[in-house]
Amino acid sequence: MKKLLLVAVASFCLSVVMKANNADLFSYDKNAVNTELSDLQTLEEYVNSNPGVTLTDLQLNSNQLVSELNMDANTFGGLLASFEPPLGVPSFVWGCVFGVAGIAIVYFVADDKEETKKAFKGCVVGALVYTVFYVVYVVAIVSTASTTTY
Amino acid sequence: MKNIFIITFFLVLTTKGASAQNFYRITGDFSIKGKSEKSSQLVIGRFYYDKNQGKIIHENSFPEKETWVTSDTNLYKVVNNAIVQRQTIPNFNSFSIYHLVLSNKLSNFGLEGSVFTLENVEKEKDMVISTWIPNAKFKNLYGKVLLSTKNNNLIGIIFYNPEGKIVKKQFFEEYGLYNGIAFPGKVIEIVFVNDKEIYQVTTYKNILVNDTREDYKYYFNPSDYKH
Repeated sequence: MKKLLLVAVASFCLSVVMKANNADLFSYDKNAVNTELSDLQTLEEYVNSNPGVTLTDLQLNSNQLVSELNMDANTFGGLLASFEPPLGVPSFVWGCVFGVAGIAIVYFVADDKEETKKAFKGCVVGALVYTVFYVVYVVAIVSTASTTTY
Repeated sequence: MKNIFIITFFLVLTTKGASAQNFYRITGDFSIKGKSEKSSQLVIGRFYYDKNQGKIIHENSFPEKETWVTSDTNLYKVVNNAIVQRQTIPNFNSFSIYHLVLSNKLSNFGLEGSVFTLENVEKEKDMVISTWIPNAKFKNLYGKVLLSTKNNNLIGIIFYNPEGKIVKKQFFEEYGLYNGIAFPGKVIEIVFVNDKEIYQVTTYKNILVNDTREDYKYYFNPSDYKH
C-alpha cells in the first residue's frame, strides 16, 4: 500500500513537472532575434525613410547597408526555400498527397535536389498506399457480395 | 411595461446586428525580415485580401516593385502590368493569417476540422495550452502541434516532427483591435535546422478591415494582364 502511494505521488509530481515544461517551451531569446536581424531593421528604417527606393537602386549606388548583407532579390520562391519545404509543408507530403504536381512544386520552389528526392519518395509511397487501400476495398466488396444471400 | 418592451426590443435588435457583423476583407502594411545561412531578405509592401474573392495580393515596394498574387492553385508574379512568372501551388489561402483572422479561427490556427485532432487542453501560468495530434493516417508525416492562447488570442505555436523534435516555433505579439478584430502586429518565426535557429520576423501595421476604398486592389483577373 505504501509502495502504491509512493508511485502515485511520484507520477503526480512527474505529471506536474511535465505540464510546467509545456508553458516554458513558449519562449524565445528576444535579444538573439533582435541582434541577428538588427542590420535588416536598419535597412528597413532607411527604405521607409526613402519611399520608392529599390534594392537595385541601393546596389547600383553601392549602398553600404546592402553591400554588407547578402541580399536575396529573388523573393518569389520564399526566403527559407533552401531550408524549409514550400509553405512549411514537408516535401514528403507534397509528393505523397499531390503526386507528380507535388514533386514539381518542390522542384520549382525549393530548388533543392534532396527535397525533390523526398517529394518523389512521397509520391511513390502515396501511390503504394492508394493501391493497397484500393485492393483492400475491392476485396472487401467482393467478399461481401459473395456472402450476401438473396 | 411598455418601456420594458421597447428597451428589450432594441437590445435584441442591436445584439443581432453585432453578431451578424461580417468581416470579409482586410488590408495592411507588412514587412518581412529574415536571414538564412545563404542570404538575407527584406520584403516591404501592402497586402489585400477579400474572403469572397479568395485572392491574396501582396503589392511589394521592396526589394523591387512587384505584386504577388495567390489565386486558387496559382501563384503569380506581376511586374509593370505583366505576369512575368507563374507557379502552381495548392490552395492554402484558407490557412493564411488573413483568412483565419477574418473567420475568427486564428486562436486555433485553423486546426479544428483539419487533419489534426484536439488531444488535450490545460491551463498553465497565464496561458491556455492545447495539444493537437495528427489523425492516424498522417502520424508518419506530421508531429503534434502545441498552441498557446491568452485572452483567446493565439500567442504561440510549436510544431513537432513525427520523431518528437521541435521543428518550428511561431509567436504572435503586439495585437491591435481593428473594427472589433484582433490582429497581431508582429509574428516571430524560429525554424530549427541542424541545431541552428533561423529567424524571420513579420510586422503588420495600418490594418483596415472591411474598407471599401481602393476596392479594385482586392480583385485580380489574369486576363487583364500581359503575359
